[in-house]
Amino acid sequence: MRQPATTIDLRRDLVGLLPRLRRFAITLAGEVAVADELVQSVCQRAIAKGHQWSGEGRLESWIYTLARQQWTDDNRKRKPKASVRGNVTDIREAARERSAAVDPDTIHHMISDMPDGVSSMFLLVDVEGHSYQQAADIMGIPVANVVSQLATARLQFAGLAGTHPIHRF
Amino acid sequence: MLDLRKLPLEAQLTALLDGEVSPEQRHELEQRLASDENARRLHEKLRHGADFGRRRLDDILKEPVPLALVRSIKSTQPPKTSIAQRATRPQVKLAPSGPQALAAALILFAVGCGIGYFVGTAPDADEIATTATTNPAPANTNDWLGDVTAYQRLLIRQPRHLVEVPASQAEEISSWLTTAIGVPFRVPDLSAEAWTFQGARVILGDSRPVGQLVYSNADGDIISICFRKDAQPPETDDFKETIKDEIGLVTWHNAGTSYVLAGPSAEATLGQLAMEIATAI
Repeated sequence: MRQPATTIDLRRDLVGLLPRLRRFAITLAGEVAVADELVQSVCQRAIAKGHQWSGEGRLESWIYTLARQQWTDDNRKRKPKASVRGNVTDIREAARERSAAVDPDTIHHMISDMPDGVSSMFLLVDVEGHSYQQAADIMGIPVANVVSQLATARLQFAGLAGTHPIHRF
Repeated sequence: MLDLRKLPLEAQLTALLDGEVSPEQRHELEQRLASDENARRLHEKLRHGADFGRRRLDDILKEPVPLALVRSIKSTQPPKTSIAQRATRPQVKLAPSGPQALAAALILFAVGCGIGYFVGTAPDADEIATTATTNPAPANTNDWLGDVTAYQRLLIRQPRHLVEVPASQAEEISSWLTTAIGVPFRVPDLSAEAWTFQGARVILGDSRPVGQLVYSNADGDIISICFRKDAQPPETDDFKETIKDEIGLVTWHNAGTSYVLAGPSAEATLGQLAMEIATAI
């Protein structure tokens, strides 16, 4: 059977979007392996729901929303466990304790040290240029929370900039 | 616009940096920045943090994407029929009247008698089995695809010896393959998709000759179009995409000829390329 052109295009577009989708998933999950599982699951869901994609607007907004929904659903199903992702003070203490054993000089550690959703919000607005409203829609939170999360992310990155200057990369 | 007055100063300055403030709020905050040294320092810190975070997040894009993810997307099959179509399908209500039910019962009875008569007068099952075994077995599609995959792997490992007859000898390729394979063809021009025709080979697929047109691109990737004469029915499924580890295959059938496009399984446009080739070859 000849496959519908829209499906072929969607799969091609998903492959093209993969590096950015994976980056978004890393900001959600904090761990690369978990993020890759999330990406795989989201892409399969997107292909299955391909008929819902109208082709208007930004494909990544739709895919990111699916990813955030999937991540929320997966989190609900998981048993509650102690997480290092608490408030900012706890995180800084945890990072300080780990710094002797683990090289924290990677973006992955920086992301996993941030409270839930903060690095995703920073990515959406500061890196990918979404408006506050678009970012709020993707993350499923009120617009008022967007600005607070962004301020937290920027201050945390500013604090890290002193210890991990750009020129080391 | 957000009502920023209830938010802490860092949130207000964040919104100012993003241009998500009303003209009045902008005016107020700029006045505060002009007069308050701490606010200026915080504003600069937020700007610096945004710049640092942006660069660090861009570093993630430099990391290689696992090939397994690409394959997973390409091998995911979409639902066969769209839900929208199913939802709009009119419902058929089966509620026959008495005479209609009687007529249907009589027709079914007559059909049943007919089938019973033909089954009773048909030759023995043993005879049918004997006859069936004398027919030649249909060509095994999987065998020839396995051979095409093996030859594609061989090509990838010897990029300096891709073809038997180079692309410069176009007439020789045309007459040679038409005679050897027994099907007319044209060499598709894929230069618009950045694939350059390198030449041709004849290989064996399931012990039968198969024509192979080889292309490469600037990245050193190799694709090949393989074709052979066959006797498959015209309604055979076409543009079926399968992945065998690092090799992706798209198969289709047209006018007594089977085609395969073989290339890297990470190449997302293989299916689309196959459709273009099908119209050009």
